[in-house]
Amino acid sequence: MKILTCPVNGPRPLQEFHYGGEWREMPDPDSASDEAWADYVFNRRGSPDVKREWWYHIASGIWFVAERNNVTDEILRTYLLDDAD
Amino acid sequence: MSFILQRRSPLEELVESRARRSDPLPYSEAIETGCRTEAAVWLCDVSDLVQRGLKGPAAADWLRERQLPVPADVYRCEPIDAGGRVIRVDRDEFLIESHDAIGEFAADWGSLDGRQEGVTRIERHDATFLLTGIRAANVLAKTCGVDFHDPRLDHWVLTRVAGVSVGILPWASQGTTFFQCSVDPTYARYLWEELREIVDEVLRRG
Amino acid sequence: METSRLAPHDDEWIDRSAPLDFKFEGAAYRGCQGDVVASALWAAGVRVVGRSFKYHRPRGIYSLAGADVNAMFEDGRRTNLRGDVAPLVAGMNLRSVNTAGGLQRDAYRWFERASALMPVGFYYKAFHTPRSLFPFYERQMRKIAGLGRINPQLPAEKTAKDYAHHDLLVVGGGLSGMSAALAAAECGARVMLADEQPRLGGSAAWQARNVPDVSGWRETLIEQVTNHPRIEVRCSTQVAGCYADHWYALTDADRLTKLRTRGLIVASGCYEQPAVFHNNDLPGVLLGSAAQRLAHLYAVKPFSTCVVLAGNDDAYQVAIDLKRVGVHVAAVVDLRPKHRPTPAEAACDNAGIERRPGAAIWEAVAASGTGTVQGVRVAPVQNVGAVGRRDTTYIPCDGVAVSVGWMPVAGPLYQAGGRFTYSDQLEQLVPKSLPATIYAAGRVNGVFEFADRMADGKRAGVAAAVELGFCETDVPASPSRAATPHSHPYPVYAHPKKKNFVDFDEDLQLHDFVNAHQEGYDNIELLKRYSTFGMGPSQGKLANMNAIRILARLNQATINETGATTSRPFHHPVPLRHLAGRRFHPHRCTPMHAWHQRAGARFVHAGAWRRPEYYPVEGQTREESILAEATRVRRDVGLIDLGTLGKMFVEGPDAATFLDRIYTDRFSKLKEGSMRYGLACDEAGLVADDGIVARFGQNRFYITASTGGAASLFREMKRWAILWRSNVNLIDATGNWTAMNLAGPHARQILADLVDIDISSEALPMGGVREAKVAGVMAKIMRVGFVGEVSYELHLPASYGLSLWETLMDRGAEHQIGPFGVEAQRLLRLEKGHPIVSIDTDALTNPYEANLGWAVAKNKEFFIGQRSLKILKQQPPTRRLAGFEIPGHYNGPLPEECHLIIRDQQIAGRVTSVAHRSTLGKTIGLAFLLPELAQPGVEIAIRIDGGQLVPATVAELPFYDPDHARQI
Repeated sequence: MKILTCPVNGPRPLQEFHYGGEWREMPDPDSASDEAWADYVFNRRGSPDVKREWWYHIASGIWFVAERNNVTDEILRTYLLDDAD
Repeated sequence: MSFILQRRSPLEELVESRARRSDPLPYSEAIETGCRTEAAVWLCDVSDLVQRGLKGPAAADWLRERQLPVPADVYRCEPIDAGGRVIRVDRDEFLIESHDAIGEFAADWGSLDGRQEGVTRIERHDATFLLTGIRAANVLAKTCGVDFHDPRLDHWVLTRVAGVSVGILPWASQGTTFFQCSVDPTYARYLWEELREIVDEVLRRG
Repeated sequence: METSRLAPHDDEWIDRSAPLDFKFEGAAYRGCQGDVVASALWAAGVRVVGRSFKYHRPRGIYSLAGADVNAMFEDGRRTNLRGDVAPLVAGMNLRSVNTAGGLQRDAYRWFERASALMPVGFYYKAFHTPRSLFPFYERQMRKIAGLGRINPQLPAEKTAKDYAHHDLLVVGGGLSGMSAALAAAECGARVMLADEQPRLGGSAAWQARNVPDVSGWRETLIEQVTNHPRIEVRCSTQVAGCYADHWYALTDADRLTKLRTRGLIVASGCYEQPAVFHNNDLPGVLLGSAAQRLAHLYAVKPFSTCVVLAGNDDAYQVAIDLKRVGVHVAAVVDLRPKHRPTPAEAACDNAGIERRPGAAIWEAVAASGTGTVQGVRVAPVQNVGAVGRRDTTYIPCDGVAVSVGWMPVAGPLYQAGGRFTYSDQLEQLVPKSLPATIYAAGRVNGVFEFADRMADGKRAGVAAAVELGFCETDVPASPSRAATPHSHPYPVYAHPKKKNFVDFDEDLQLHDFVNAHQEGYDNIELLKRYSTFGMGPSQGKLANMNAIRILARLNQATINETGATTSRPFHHPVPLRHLAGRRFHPHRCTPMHAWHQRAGARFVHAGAWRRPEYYPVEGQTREESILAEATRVRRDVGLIDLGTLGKMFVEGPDAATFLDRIYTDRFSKLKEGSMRYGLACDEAGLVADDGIVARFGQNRFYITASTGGAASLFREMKRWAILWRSNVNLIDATGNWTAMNLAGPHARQILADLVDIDISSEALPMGGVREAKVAGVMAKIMRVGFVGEVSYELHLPASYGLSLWETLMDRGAEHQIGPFGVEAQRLLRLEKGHPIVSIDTDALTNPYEANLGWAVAKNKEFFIGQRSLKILKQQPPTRRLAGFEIPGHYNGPLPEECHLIIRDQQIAGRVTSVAHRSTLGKTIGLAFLLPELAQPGVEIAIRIDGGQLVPATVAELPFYDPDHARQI
């Protein structure tokens, strides 16, 4: 089982986490076309790449972002969104 | 209106009807017994422990004003002189545990009604178990993916035990290491039954 | 019974002072403590221990290394006991798994004669026609297929499962593994050393009995690793799987251990490989290593007279070992061409054992009756894979020891990300590249000399310790790999009678590979799937290497060009009970659980919870009990446990605007001291959850969520709060608070005595909420309820829940109070026409279809799902939730949930809820209907199980009290 490093709780086995899907930017709902909105709502991108993903540490209720290379399944870094900028 | 509601442990039925080794004990008595126990594993319900939660940007100040310790880092815990401890459970959230000595802060905490700026009280009614003995870590090793064989004392660990979220606080008294496990009260019956079975298994087979 | 135990010697694993009685195929035998089942049977003279998978040929033991699928037994409890490695236990009552009517009289033994009808892959091609016969074929196949019978009557047992944490795992307790563990531990690493055998020593325990010094080295190492404070030794333990981030599955007889480390050293050694010749599967044909294990570990004389088939120098050590224990070695038949004698061959000459270089076994000959080997026909090798058939000589013998080559136990390394390459120098696969923190040592690394194995282990142990940061010493140089091959490049010989087995698990013969190749399966992975080689219980431990060699020759390619099949966990078979472990089933109970238990409630799983479904009354059916609970609420008063509701606090300066964005309705204008229904959609505009939103202060809200949806709603709210940078405090109080609903005409009277505020309908009307003390404890009182009567939802800290429940029951006794469960609540809600999210809605329901459009605010800036709902609203509706009732004159069978509404033989809808009996005296329900049908008065037909159509009429909602007069 993979180890994921929660920025607050440290390295923990994957079973302690809930996967929250890939990071997506919401288009402006007022100006986006129906097609652009549907693309945001329904389509996910699985192409080989470094993905930004949401992960949730269940016991502490902490959401964080992991950058993962989905080809090598390597996690490059994890961080709280507040700390990202 | 004469009647006053009673605080009840989620385990009261289970513990009364089943366990001798695991009788519900007042917290301080439990510690004494735990330190003296010769059992390889000893599990005890101490759900009478009173917990008071505190959250908000002004929570640390609220503690300081009442001469209560403010642990510097998240998940650290500090003892209260009059008995009990304060655990920092998040950047702006604290958990005060008290047993024998109820300090003056209790009434202040009770009067936090949500109208105060920057601090709100949180009702905490977790079930709390104490686990000790030379094979105590083996019980955790059968239920939890975190290694507790050489634990960091006074450091709270939020993890999964037997599939449910549990806070584990290892601490020592008179040279005895205790694992204090707090769990959401609605999972208490389940976790208690599982841990009791595993304690029996560890006592039988190691 | 004749026994072939040898004289006692120091290194044997058996304890002759502890005899064990057991039964095999009904007959009684005696073995010793320390025996495996196979050694005890062999010692007792039993040669046929099982029947082969496809042709039901008699088979004996072969590897004694865990790959003997034909020595597989059942003992009434376990179905796949591997006799070659399973320890003998007193009282065992064993049967062979793959027979019909016993091992000797197996009813399927004629299958062999039909082998021409069962070519490779025949089951892909046969049994298709005639179609009408397929059920017959299927019944027959089910009878024949499978190994062992499952006894469904066995009681469930909980198997232990635990986690372990070390710095380093060393796989294999032989000379190299022990040296590696010791070197790393000396540098400070905490090491787990696992070996599948019951004792340490590895092949040095049986392969080197007559090699000087080795047993001394072995014993010293065993003592050192056993006593080292940083080494945990686990024998009889298999490393069954290697997973990401140094996560390993270790299994022994009693448990599964999930081990986490930071490094791995694989010193797993090699599996000896079979030679492929006609009748190479006869009982009595054994691997040389198996003969050595029998003789040295279990003190069993393997044969009386034997022929050794050699493809390497190890065979000569086997021959000498056998001669020393009293076996007459008739000849060593060496596949390799005549060459200047090696030291091993010279030793053989000195021992007076005849050598026949440049020769092969053309065929083994079976004794009639027993089917065991009675001799071999030896012929000169003409070419690789071909023997001359003219100059054969017959050598009588009761055993053949085959020692022609080795395959590294590469599973753990492959799974850990290692890659292998074929070394022409060794005629063996050797590691080519290994990821960081992963090492190979010893024979798996191509290092064969005993002293070199120790040096290689030490090298790996130090290197791992340095890489993991335990020390900074120089890593010793690697010893060189073996200079001469220990494996023959092609120990495979065709024979016209074709019983030359490549895969003993699946009864695959050489010509099966040729045929499959001709049919186009010329890729190793495709060939594996088509022929099923390597897919039996031993997972190709004895078959894969020869299969690769055969395919390479058929393709005229090199081994490296041919490649190998993928190795996946589990490397060893793992009983399902190990995987199941203790079977944790976490579940939540409300604080009132003990009361419900005492009241005899029937519990139902609801999400993570166990909650009362209903409270059975003696002499009443389930339906009658539920109706009685509901009737009591309508007539008197009832109390329901709502502890399972999601309960959350949303507080802070942005609380109101945050909730406006989460829910479809607007809450920033909600008055303090009141509450409203809250509907949450997902981004696609589909119904996600519902509950109530109550406002207790300018910035203080308290919300409830459905039992099943609370955890995900809270999680998503936390995420949105981060994304929107909302200044809110989100507190999940689902477990720390509890709730109950007191409902019915007498509810107000009962509660009024317990609270210190005015709860009259004027002071606290429907939709009002208050914080007040209930019997001395601060609680939230909410005038909410979907059951259609006066009702008060009481929320308070969990520890006081049971006490309040008991108090209300006590105070309500004079008003005929009683509990009601989730089923009665469903009935009462149905009568009021309230849909239940996730029962009356599904994963594709939008609010308009569920008649919840009124809860969607029109002119809000933003809420989740708003943009999608704008699109959905433009589209014509495809269905609508509507009420229906069954006419009073109908008295046939009634519809159930999920039954379909049929119009013109087409599906026109689906029943989502139905109550056969209601307090209204009729059968009512909710159904999704085509929009044109969803008009009161329309006649519809519901198709029930069996196809009958039941008439129903679409009804106006709600069924009960449309003016809500009873809720004031």
